[in-house]
Amino acid sequence: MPMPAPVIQVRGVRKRLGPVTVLDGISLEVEEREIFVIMGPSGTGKTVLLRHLIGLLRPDEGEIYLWDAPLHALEGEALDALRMRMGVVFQGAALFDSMTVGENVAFPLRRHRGESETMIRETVATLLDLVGLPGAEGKMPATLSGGMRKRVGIARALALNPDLVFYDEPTAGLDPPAAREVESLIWRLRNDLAVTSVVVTHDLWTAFGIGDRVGVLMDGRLITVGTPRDVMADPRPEIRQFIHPPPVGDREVIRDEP
Amino acid sequence: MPQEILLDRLGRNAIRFLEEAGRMTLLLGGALRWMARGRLEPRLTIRQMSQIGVDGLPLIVVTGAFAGMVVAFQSAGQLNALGVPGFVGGLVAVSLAREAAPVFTAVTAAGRTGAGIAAELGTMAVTEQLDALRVMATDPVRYLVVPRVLASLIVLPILTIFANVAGLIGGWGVAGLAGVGTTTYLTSIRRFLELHDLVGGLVKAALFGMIIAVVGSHRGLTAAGGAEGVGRAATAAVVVATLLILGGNYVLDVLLF
Repeated sequence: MPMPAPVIQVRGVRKRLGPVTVLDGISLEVEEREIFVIMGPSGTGKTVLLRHLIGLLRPDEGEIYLWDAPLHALEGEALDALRMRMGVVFQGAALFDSMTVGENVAFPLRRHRGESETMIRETVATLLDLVGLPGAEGKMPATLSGGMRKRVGIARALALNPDLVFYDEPTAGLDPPAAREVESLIWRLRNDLAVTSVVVTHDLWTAFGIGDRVGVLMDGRLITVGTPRDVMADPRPEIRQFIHPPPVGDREVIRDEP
Repeated sequence: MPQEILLDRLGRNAIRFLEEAGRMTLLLGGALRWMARGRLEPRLTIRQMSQIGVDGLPLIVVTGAFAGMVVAFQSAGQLNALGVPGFVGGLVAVSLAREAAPVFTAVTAAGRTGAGIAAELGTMAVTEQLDALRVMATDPVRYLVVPRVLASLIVLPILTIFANVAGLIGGWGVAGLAGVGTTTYLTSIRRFLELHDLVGGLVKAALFGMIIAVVGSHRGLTAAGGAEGVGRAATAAVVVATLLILGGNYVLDVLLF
């Protein structure tokens, strides 16, 4: 069976913001159903790279293809059509704080699907159930904890059945149990819904815990891309310096889940 | 070389002013394009209309009443002394209709609505809510700016009518205290106030409404730098909108009356 084409192809992307070269020739490919982790210390351009992948920033140089569509050159309705196939979970969840949890999750459905209110309510209930927050429809985002907000953000990102989900620092600011919950949720979504996932994180535990492949971003360059094992075994000092490897055994436990 | 420094600074400010004007024009153009395509978001527009109109009404009525009272107070004394009290009502009505009602309403709304729009959209900008809209294939200009521009454009003239009525009533009270009878006051209004005065004032109010919403939206959408940035956006929205209203008022006066 031939390998399916990569979902994401990034070729030689460069980006300057003001006087700083934030991305300095990034190339990468993300395969279907893969969990690809972009890891690196804070301030190395991870979020800038992510914003390129979701079409919020345009590269100065280079190309970005999503399912063979040139994301870097699209705008208007063509860009929106591509965005309907992706979900994005923002670092601070970016929930609309004037709306309830239910309205937040229903937002993409109401805007893009001409479904009846009954159907929308059912979908919202299913999604909130999926992220472990059944019955939270009526709550306001301001009353939720960080972990709960994140999970609502995930539910909203999944509303339109995306093929591709981006997570910006999904576990940042969460206590360890809440972080593990979000990680296992990302893991389950890939297994159950067959989504392709791109996770940006500076959290080694998250990166090695859920990543099929990990790319290490430093000073605007992707200095290595490989399986968590490969990256952990990388002898280069700049990588060793950043990585204090978590116990491999724990990762195996998570990975051996059916 | 202080002169060169001065010139340099002047030039930079001029460039910044032009850039700002250009961006606001582009934003207005974007909003008008959505409107021309009939993408109007009626539900959100009505909610904005109620926020700008219903919630803003008490302040507008009080402002309008005081404006009418002041004009009546100033004019009644002098016109009575000249022996022509029959001009008071007309003077109050015409100055309210052409100037006081639309300008006071707009300046009040710039402080209330303009700052509110900038703060709300600014908060959404700094908490990635605008990005969330974009990645959910929803243009913030269509979803947020169009309803606000439309609501403000419709509601400001309506508020101005209320300010006119409140001003006339306030003026009537003060004129009455100064010895101008009710019949004289009303006859004078009927004699001097023309439809043209009222309509001109309402056209101005509609344009002021557009200015308030566009400036507030622009400042909000481009806010950056956390809570402080949101505060700056709100302040700047009020300052810029007020300046544009007062400057625009002069230009519109020349064109309309």
